Amino acid sequence: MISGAPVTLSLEASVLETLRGFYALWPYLILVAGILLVLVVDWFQSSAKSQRVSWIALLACLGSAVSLTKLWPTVLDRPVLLGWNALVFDPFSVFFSLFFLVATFIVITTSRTSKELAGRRMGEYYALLLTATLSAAFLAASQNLVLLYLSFETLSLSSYVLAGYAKDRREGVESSLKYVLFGAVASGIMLYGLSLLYGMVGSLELRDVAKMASQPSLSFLLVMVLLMAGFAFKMSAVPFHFWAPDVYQGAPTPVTAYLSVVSKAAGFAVFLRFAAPMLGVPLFSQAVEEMPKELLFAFLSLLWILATLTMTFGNLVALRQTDIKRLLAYSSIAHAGYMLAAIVAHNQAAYEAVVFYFVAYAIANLGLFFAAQVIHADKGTFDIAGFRGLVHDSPVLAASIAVLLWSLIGLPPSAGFMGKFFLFVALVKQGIASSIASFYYVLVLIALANSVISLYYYIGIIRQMAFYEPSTMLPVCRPTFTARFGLATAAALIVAIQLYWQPLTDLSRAATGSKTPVRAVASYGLVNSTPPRNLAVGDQQ
Amino acid sequence: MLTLYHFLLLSAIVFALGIAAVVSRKNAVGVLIGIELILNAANINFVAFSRFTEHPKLIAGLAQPAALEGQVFAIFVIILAACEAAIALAIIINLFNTFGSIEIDEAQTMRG
Amino acid sequence: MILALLIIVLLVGAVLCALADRVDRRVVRWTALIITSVDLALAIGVATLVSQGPIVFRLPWLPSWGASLHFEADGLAALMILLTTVLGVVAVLISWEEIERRSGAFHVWLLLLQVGILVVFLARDALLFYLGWELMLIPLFFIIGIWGHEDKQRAAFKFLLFTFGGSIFMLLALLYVYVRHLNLGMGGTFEIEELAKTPLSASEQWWVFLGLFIGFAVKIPLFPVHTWLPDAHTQAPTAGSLILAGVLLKTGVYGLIRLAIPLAPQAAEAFAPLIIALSLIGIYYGAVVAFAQRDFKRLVAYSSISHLGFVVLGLFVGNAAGYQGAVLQMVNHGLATGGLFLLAGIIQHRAHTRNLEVFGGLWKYAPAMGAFLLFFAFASLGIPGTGNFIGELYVIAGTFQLHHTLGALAALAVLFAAAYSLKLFLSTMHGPTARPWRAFKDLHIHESVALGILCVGLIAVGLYPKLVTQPLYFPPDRLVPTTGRVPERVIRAEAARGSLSSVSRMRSKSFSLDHEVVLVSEASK
Repeated sequence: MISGAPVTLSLEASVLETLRGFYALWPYLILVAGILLVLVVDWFQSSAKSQRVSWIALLACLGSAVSLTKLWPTVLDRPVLLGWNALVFDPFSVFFSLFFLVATFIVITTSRTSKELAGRRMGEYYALLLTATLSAAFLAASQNLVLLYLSFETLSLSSYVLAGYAKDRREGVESSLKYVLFGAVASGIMLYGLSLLYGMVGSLELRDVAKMASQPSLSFLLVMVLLMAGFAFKMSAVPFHFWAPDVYQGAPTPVTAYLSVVSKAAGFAVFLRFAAPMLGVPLFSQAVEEMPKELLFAFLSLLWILATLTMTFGNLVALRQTDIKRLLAYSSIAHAGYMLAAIVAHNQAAYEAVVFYFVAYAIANLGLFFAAQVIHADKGTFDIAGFRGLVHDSPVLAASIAVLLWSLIGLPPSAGFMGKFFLFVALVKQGIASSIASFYYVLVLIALANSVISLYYYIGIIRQMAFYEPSTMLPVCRPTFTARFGLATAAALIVAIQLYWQPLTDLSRAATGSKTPVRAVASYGLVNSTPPRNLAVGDQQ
Repeated sequence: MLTLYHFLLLSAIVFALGIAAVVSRKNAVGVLIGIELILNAANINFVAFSRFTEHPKLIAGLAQPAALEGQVFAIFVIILAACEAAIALAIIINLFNTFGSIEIDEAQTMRG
Repeated sequence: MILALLIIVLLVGAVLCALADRVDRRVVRWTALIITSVDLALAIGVATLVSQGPIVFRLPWLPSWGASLHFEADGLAALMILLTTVLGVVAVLISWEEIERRSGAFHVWLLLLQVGILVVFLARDALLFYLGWELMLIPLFFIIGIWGHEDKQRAAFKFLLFTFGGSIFMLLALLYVYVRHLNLGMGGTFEIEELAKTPLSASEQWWVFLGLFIGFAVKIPLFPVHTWLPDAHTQAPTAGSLILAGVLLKTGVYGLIRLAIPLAPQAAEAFAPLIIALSLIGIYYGAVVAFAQRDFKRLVAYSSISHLGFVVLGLFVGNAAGYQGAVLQMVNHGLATGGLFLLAGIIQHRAHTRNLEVFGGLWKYAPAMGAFLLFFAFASLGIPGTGNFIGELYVIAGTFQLHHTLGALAALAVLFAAAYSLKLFLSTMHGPTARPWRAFKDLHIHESVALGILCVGLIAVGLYPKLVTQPLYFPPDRLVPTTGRVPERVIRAEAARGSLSSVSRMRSKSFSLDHEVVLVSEASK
């Protein structure tokens, strides 16, 4: 491994470092192997049995996740750098990789039973899904603008195809068209911003970019605005949210769930990675480069406005939706707004809150999209009318859906409440510490008012389920035991997190670097003359 | 003599043209061409910055200016632009098969 | 342990009811009745034990966040849980015939509703309190929305929207104090007693109190934010109305006593004039509007607003008499208004209408029902011998101590109460028979039992008010907040921190502590 800093390592140390690097790459290699295997095996399958390759995809996810958990203690001790510092495996990126893998695992499981995907050749589908996950993981880990753009595009390209996977359905085609055109424009604008950034900084490494931020310049803010196009597109935040409702509605439901969780989380991860050092609160070994006060405030104001617009717009438009997937699309826009609001607080608690919030959001969203899929399978509609009187069809299903919706509102007892709670704690904390307290308090009030608005449409679904008799026009919904079990588990998890959230906060704290001692600030851990103590090689014994 | 600013001006004009095409075109292929313009504007920037900027930073072991990065980036962008065009064109063909047109406004089944 | 048992029994009961639903409706009812009776027995146990000292149950929950499962019962809490469990039994009894549809789910929600209420009354951990607070919303939302009357869904939603809207301000205030406490290096804690020690500046207190007050005022409900109450009451099934009027509204008052005043005592003092004004407006507004109603339940609902105005008035006049009166009224209102709602439900079940204009002459058909209605209507207007008389007397006396004009205003309001109470009785039981009520049966045995329980309670409090006022001074070693304005606990905390100047300032007020201690000893004689 060749270091970016002109420091000579002893032979022994550099060999050890290289081994460490390979060890860190292992989970991703498993994923790559999975992708190739899925494609190859699918060639030898008849189309009817194509669904079988999902087992390989599941195994790849599982294997990758297991080796990531083994990697976790190593990176907790000291981040691993790879590829001329282009990739950094610190708890942040490893946590997000794990998060993506778990979500992908769930999406694959739900894809297996999806009626929208039934009868198609599934090899490419799973290969694309895994590719998207791999690039999302790299996106969260990238320290270099080339890699950042590469993984960003790979994630996008796979998603475009996935969104239009049901290529004979009009909605599917329309959604993938809108997605690809919108995504290409957004990433093009971001790329233009990256090129200007490169010219200003003279380097493609994120840490140099962060250094740039400490020099006041208006053009830097302009570049940030251009870059926000790409990030906002992935987060589905205003003003780059227009694709979300159509794509969410038109794509196959498992893909929608994937987009709403993995793709969005990847957007937040890379944005945090990018912006954290400039906001003055770095992740792990990132160098602190504080922006000058005026520039910081301008940037925060930009985020403030985006957050406010995003949540308000999402919630207000969600009020008049009748299609459950479209409604959840707007709701997911609104949730992006809440998380952006946390980033405005730009303190450690805020990052933790974002991570916590994302887990709560992911459980609820994966569950709800799966529920929509289950109901669609029996009733043939994604209209909210399909939820009518669901409690008579299947009380377990209805109760689980109610709990998940409850969590999205942010009412206790649910994980969503704790997520909002931590989010507000972060903002209030910053407000108390800051001289412009009302800047943060007003944001809290807006977010709270938005929760009240969101109550209306989420409760609307609960009302449909509990207060009405089922429509006689539609067939009865008879979910399988697995479906009921899966949803009940999600609901139980939501409540369990409320009752005992300590593990999750510990995790989010570790993932954003509160407890991990920052050892090698300047050089990403490569200048230590003594060999690292906790080596991967040692771990395997 | 050509300076960096000439290239930047050129790329800014190309970028603006690209955005204009994206916004005004109703034809999916027209929009795609606009996107390619945007990507190429960025490419001009990368190459120009890489050619005109002096960088003290060295990659250890290699006695070359690190500014080569920009040109590498440009090559990556060309590759990705090709992938993107391939996927977008595939989707547009699919659009034509389904809707019988490649006008974007034809594909408006979902609203709300 | 007994406190945890109170809640566990209900939770187990909810599970049992859900299971029993698969067998038969009758099994569900009996299960619910037994469970609530067991809970009542436990509550009586708590009420007797509490005279020897506070009962504390404490389990670590999330120590690094400073959250613990801290339940504590003192006299006030014991009174409130006694009221809750009594009404719990009554609620099951009165739903015996009324609830025919999805009876299992109904009883599950009914029991869970009580869980939420008990958590609110017992929690000494702010987070736990808030959890209980929001937990009360869910069951009642479904009880109103599924088993309610004609316009149930709108009412259920309005209820949810108002209370949730109010509670977010409360959450924000609690959060602010939490973070403030954390930032001072005092560590994160949700213990209310610890949070109360956070030194807040006057303006901070002002905001914190405002936030908490909005949350509680919606629940009480005080005058400008009361509009959800008549709808919710009118549309709810009888048991829902009963619990709603009987205990749910009191959680708002209780929250003021337990949270708002201890956390922001100075702000409470600053807000007192405004709150007194609002509650006086509420008293008159509720009474006048009640008189104009044609709907039985709506009339009682508006009378509730009037009665709760008395409670808040008593709390904020800032002397022991007012405080005792407030608590007395909380109990009495729970019993008397509960009784009226029961009768409303019983009559509606038979007549399929609540319109007072079509009733009349019912005494002929149902003398027992008439007698009960007479009793509860008279209790509601505060006739001597019932608890309401004593409660109102205390509140009015307390108000007189503060200011004569205000006292006179409060006293005059009793006349208004007489007007609507008598209207209620006369238009149902007396007068010409407006319709030939053929199948109008008198009370069933379980209905009589339910009403009888409330009756006995009211008379007992009326004849022996020490039943209520004495427990207020349990535990004896620690005075519970004797005044609305300056709780003793806070004064002690202040003194412990050495800011004696503010204590002496408080002591020099006209409602000095010495005076209160005298009243206390009088009450406990």
